[in-house]
Amino acid sequence: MFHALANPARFLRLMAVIRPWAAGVAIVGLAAGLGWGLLYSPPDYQQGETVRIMYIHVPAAWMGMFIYAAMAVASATALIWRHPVAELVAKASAPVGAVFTLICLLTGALWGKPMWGAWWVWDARLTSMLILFFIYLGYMALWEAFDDPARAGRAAAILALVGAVNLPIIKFSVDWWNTMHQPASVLTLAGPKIHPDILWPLLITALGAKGYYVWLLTLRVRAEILSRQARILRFAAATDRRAD
Amino acid sequence: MYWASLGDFLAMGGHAAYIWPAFAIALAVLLGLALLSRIRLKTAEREHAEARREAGRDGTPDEVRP
Repeated sequence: MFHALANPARFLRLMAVIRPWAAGVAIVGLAAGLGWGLLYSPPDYQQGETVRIMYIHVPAAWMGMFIYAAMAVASATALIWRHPVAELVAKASAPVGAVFTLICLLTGALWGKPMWGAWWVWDARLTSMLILFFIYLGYMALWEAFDDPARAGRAAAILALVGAVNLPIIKFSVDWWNTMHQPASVLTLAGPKIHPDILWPLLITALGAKGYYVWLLTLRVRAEILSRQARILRFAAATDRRAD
Repeated sequence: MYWASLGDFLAMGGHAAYIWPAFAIALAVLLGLALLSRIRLKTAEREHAEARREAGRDGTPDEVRP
């Protein structure tokens, strides 16, 4: 399976099969989860209706971290086994992860203002999430900084791996430091601490967001593979002409 | 349904100014990236087809043949 997927043609066929399903999960999951959160879920006894921002904010934060983890694993795979598709999966993931992290930061500000009285505070959770956003931007910039895709890929993969130390810092920032941000309430050792009426729409939205990521991956990895093949073809054609 | 009326729903308990922009930004950004990704794919497909024509063969480079 793993080696089979190193073949771009086979990988593209698999992506083509997955694409409509992923798009379906994205559209149904996001519409159902956000619709439920907006229309049927109860307000919070302290935060009132602003708690509905959570249905975007929390899945976006999860996706920002999940996609980064996926990118780090794909980068390690590319570095260790020279897996050509893994490298492109990592590259194609970065903008999606960056966008979810941006949504998390922006919706966090819109939630912070009415509840904390500030759009932004330099607290451990918020700051480590902002750093995640900057690492995504740095990763994307590094890909563009080299003419040779092999060198760019290597440099970007190393950055992705080094940046992965930020993930546990984000997750445990609310335990390690005193922060404004509330502690974990879904992914805890004791299980979720929130009511099912809130948990369900949250999980369904998160599933829709996963579908969105996979859907965009099927588009973006295909684009990466085709441009790389176009480059190889041009190079081969130029070499042929020189040979004639 | 949690809401008594449409007006109630739109007012969001007085926090409409924070809640609706949060949903709007998320939707706009997700749609925008999906659109950009589609455009990027179309560009790559065009590039690939051109490179294939220029190369004057069936287009699949040997190294990617299954």
